Amino acid sequence: MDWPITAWRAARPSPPDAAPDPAVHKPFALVERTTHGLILHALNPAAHALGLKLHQSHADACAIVPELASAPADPVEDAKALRRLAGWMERYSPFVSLDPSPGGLEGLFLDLTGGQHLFGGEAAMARAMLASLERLDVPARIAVADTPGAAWALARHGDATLTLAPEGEAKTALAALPVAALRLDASAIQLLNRFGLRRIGALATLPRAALARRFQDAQALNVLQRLDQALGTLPEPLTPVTAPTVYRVQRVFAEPMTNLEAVAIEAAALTERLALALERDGVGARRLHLTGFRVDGRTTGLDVRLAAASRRAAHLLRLFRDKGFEHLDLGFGIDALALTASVTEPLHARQTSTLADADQANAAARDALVDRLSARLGDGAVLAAHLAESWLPETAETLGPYASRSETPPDPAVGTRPILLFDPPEPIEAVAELPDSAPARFTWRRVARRVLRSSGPERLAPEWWKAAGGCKPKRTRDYYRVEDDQGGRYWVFREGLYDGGDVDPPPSWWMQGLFA
Amino acid sequence: MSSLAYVELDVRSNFSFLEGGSKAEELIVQAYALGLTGFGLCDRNTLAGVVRAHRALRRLKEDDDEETVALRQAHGEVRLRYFVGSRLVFRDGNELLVYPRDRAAYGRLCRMLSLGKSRIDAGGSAPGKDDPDRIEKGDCRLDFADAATLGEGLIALAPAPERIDDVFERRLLTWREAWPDQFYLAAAPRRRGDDRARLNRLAGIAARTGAPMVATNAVLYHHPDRRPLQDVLTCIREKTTIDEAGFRLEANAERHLKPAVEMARLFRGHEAALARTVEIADQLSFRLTDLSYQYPHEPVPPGWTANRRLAQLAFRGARARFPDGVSASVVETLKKELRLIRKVDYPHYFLTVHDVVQEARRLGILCQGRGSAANSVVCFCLGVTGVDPTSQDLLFERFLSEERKEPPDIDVDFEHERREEVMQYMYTRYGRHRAAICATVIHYRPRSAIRDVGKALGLTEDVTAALANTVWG
Repeated sequence: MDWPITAWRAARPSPPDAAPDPAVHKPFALVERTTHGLILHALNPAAHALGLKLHQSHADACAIVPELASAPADPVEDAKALRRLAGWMERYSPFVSLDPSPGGLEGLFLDLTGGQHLFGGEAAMARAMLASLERLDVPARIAVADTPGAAWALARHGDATLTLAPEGEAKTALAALPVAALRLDASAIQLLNRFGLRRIGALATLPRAALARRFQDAQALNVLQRLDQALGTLPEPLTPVTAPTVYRVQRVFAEPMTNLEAVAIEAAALTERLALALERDGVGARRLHLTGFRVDGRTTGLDVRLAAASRRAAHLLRLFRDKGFEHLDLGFGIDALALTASVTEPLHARQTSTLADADQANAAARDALVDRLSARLGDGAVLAAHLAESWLPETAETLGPYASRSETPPDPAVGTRPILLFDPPEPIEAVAELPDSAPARFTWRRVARRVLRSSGPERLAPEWWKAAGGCKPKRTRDYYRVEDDQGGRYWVFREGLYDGGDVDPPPSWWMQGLFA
Repeated sequence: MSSLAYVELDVRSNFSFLEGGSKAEELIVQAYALGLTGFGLCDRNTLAGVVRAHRALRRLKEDDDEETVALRQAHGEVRLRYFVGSRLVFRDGNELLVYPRDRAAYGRLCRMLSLGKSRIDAGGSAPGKDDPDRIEKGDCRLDFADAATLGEGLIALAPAPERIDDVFERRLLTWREAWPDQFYLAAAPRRRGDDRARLNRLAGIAARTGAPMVATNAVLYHHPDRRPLQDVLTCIREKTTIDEAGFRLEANAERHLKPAVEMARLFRGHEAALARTVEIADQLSFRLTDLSYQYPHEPVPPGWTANRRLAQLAFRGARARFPDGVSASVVETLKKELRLIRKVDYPHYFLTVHDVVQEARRLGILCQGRGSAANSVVCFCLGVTGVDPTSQDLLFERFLSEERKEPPDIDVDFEHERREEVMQYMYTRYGRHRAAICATVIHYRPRSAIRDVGKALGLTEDVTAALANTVWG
């Protein structure tokens, strides 16, 4: 309850035991600066008890309760803190979603489906949650019900801090609650109250058609929608803080663990378990998170990415090791550790052949090497050549992240390219017929060669939109494939056109590459 | 100038929107300066550029301003011939260049393009944005079959595609067999290192399919300096930026107009392909000057000439206007006016107006001619205007004169509530078949041009907006 105040207190060192915490025992408010001056953003129970209301102006509140203590509110930080708490609550369920209901009604939805037995049933689980939140000094109210709407209502308007609504009995459980428990806006509540509809039970017994007719505007829709959501006749999708992950293994410790070596051992055990789960489904991980749940309600973690999907436990563990367990900030210790594969890809078992798919084995070994290098040196440190759409050989490839490389062959629109390119090209001396015939003779590396066969020209114009400079060509080139009397095949070009008016400096000849 | 003759038959101007990088005028001047024998403009599914090219050529030949005089001094007499053509881009993306031999074939070509463009309604009622049947501005829905049925008198050239394969050869054979007139294969050097092999291959295909190979340069701009502009246009067309466009841009700046010697060098070993350009050009007798206004013949009775009919009506009207006898001066003026009308050849126009006024009178719709037409005794006698100009001493030359070289303007007011009836009469009398599309050509205004070019160059919205604000219009 009153999340902003809880968050505010959590963000500050608790006062020495002797001194009473002002935010607990005395009327205390967080104030927000608006265009209408300071208004009350959140109140503690003591302040509520003295009749202060949310959104009241701070001046009015001080007139009513002169001893009111206050501090500036920070909604952004509050939201972050709520998100952090949500992350921490993932120890109970992988599906936690935020409920940023304003006005001190903030909360979290946890989908417990399928996980209760791990904690000894719903009731025991809820009690464990309550206890752990209490240790974190988070005053919490918990309700377990069939629908998010019903749980919301029971947690905030129920009698106890812990309410369990038996399955299928949402209607009876909600009947006695005020209509405000349906998450309606103030004007809708006021309207319903004016009609004498104060309890959800009264509202639910009315014929729907009459209700809809009576409230023929957006509010009515909202009333019916909220009612249906609470009773489960209308689905209410929730967005989890962390996208649902299928592959997740977790371990809870009896004592908070502060020793990194012990964490590494636990991580090894988790990796083994995860690898089994991945193998069962024929998938491999591309991205892994190791998350430690700290006793102070925060989490700490390590992320690794893989260049190619893998499920070899030893490899996965080595990646974490290379990344360094020492980067985990255990704080006062962690009491749970989870390993999640958030991105997975199908990875089928491969028959090893006697003729040894050397290529495949090599590729796997190369991917493993790249993973280890990236884990140690950082993601940007391992690059691969990518094809770029450019006619000019110098700019036809660029370096990019290894993982995003494509194996597509070069576009056939580009002419034949040699297997070896000189960058920069080497100057040659050539004799050729004007204006654009292939050279008849040329001298390269001080050896004169006589051309027997040739083809071309392939005329490539400079990329005018790129800044001049470096080794980028500034003049049009004519490329020729030539074969000399020794059987050597070359890719030579003339920079500058004789018929294009390039006289100063005159066109020059270059060796760009060798064909096989 | 060289004795080599060459006619460039594959040229796109900026009327092939976002494809051609030069204006028709620039192309004409360049073709003349390079000493080409002839020049055929064929823009994508349109004839919109033909008038510009025609006018540019006439200006070169006739005008005596500084620029043309200087050009003529530098390059000699203007012998350049200009041919009207169009590039048909079919629904399946294949292309065909067509050149009308004569006036009738030109008419069929126009009908073909009208058919393609009027298929806009074929999809049904009010197509939505995502409707595959929706037609964008300038769209043309034409198939080879449509073109072939109207192809009589049209010489066709099929441009060789980027990739030459068996599919192309089969298509070429089918097309050649189906085309009602001469059919050629247009080959252009690409300067991609394989020209010799490519041209030999195309020559082989030409021999097998019976579609002789014709040399062209698939021109996109008049001068190699236009390559940057053409690249930018490609980016705008492909909705990308210059850095992303990659292979969609041309590898070089070779698609400009080239002189005959250069074309001969590029087509060495295929001299016949070069000669065929002239052979084709010699068969094209159609000129834009063959086109003139064609007046409806309806009001003229069969067997009559329009002038005789007009004279008859005028004198018959005169007797009605002057029941006491037509004075000699009136007869004199009438004869003088009729002579002039015959001379400037507008009798049909008077007959049409007379016909409309007649019908309005029959329906009891009030109408009255006004303005300068009141100066004409012919109009008075035809009942178009109501005031006798001889009694007012009005000057006929204000209405129609030889020097003006433009049709006279007869304003007739109709009772406004019944004007619609007159219009309906016009529709039924003169018919739908006389309706034509006036060319609507999409073009850039300076601001949107700057915005699109900026986008293609990868500038931010802010920068282009700031640049666009610096120009007016």
